[in-house]
Amino acid sequence: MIYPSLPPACYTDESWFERERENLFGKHWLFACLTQQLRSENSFVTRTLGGVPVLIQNLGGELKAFRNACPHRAAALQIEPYGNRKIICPYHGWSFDHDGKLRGIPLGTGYNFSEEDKRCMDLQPYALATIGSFVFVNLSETPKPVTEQFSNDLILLLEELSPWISLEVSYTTFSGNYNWKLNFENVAEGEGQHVPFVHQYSLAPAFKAEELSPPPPSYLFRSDGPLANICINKKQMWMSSIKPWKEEELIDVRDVSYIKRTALPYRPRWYSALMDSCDRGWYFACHIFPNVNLSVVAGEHIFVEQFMPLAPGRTEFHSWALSARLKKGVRPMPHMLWAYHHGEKHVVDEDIAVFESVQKVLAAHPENAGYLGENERSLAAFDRYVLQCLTEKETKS
Amino acid sequence: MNKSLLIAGPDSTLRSAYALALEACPQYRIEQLFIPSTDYYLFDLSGFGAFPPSEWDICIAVNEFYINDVRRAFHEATEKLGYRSVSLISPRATVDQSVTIGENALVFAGAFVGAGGTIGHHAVLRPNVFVGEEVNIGNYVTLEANVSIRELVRIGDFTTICANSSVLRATSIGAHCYLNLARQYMGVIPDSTFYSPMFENPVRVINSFLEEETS
Repeated sequence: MIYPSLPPACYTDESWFERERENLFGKHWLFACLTQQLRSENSFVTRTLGGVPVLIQNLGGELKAFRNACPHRAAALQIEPYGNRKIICPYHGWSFDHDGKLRGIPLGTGYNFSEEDKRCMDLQPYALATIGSFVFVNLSETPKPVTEQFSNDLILLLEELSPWISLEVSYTTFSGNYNWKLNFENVAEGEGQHVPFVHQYSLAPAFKAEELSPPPPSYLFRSDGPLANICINKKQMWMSSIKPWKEEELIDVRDVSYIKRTALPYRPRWYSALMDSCDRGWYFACHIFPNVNLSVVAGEHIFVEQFMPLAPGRTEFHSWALSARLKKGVRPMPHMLWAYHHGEKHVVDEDIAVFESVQKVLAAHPENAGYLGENERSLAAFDRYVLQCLTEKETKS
Repeated sequence: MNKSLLIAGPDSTLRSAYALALEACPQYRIEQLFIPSTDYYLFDLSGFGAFPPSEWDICIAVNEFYINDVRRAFHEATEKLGYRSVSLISPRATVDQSVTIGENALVFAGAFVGAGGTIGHHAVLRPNVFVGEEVNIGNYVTLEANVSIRELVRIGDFTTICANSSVLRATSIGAHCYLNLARQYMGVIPDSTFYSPMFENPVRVINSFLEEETS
């Protein structure tokens, strides 16, 4: 079975990129941050999602999203990537309340605004949804319910996983010269086919089958637990759940976020006794449409990766590293999360070197971008759904 | 001090600390003891049996990559055995008399520490470190060789600054930072900030002190 891949122009052309911003990033729920970053009153995160500056802030205990731009002179209301600060524009000091309504203007009389003038100076809100610790924002004026984008299984998994994740989170960003879709397609491969080649000495040895002993019992996926019946192909753990589709059939967006799980040889480390792991002896991943990869290694290492497009050939990689929930009284261990982050970056750098070489070939416009086989059905479905969005066909709901 | 001095540690820093002790305390009997460890934190302390705390003071030397916390763990393990920790200041270092120096600090040759500052417990100042006046260096801090710290700087506990870096006047560096790029640092660097040659931007750990603050 051969599935077509996306035309090379989808990875390289400005016009496709603009369509992507509008039809894909402008209409879907996009991961923005973790609730760990927004625990206290006035804590905030700033992001650029699909080219739009977005501010996510804890206001009176509620998480809200606004366009991160002052209605006065378009200055960013919060400048740092994250922090804790009231919504006061750093440019001229305009301040806004918990609902994004204009609260005060210093030297206000000089502007001579009428009350009616001020009414159109509120912040532009965006829809926000939290699933466990995962915060999503939708830039559309008429956002679809989040349940129409993510399957019940995925939502349940994120909700059940969240209490097992540490409050401490190591966060950074870096960038590469490749299209963001190459990154999602890479993680969405049905069986991780690139791993033995691209990560021969880094990631691949961890999965060596000959070292595999029966995994310790998992708490998260225990047979009497809420995730016992979620859809992960039981025979081949790597395969995603998407079924073959007919030529005329449209792909449902809920089928292009995947859950994978496979046994992983487990060896306790010095930190293992300091944390409560929910899934020792296993590796599982959620590929969350459109651009997030969540990896959980032995329940002890949790990585959230997001591939944010900056330009057709440039991607900003956002990276969160977390551990399992630490036991009470365990002292801060930033060095442990940095060790996680270092290990992950080593693997990601190996991927990025490949993406950048692929990007160069695609930019030279070959006739097509390749062929996908049966074990890449998940990837083909992603490509097909992206094409559906970009060609503005109605998706089935 | 009538006791003998034992230099103990789980890594190769032991040798440089032993050399420093020979230089700093020529009047004492000095021995070095390598402590095997696995997975950073698991120390085999059985070697201490031959060195009773009634006869030996101790100076520990630990430099586990960027984990100054291992030094803390090793210190706590030896403290339980009943040893008294002593600091070592090279006779070829210049430390102003007004500087307060904590327990088990190591100040290597060529270091200069200006007036009015403090050097925390278990801090390590490697060769040729320059520290200006009124600088506050926390506990378990490591300043690698040739680091230059200007006046009025604050460095939080457990922070490491890599070799050949300089820190501008009145910079405030948080706790648990690992500044592993040789460059100039300035302004306010929050707790748990990690500069690494592997990352374009600093890596920061959010919430790492949350539990301490709320408890």
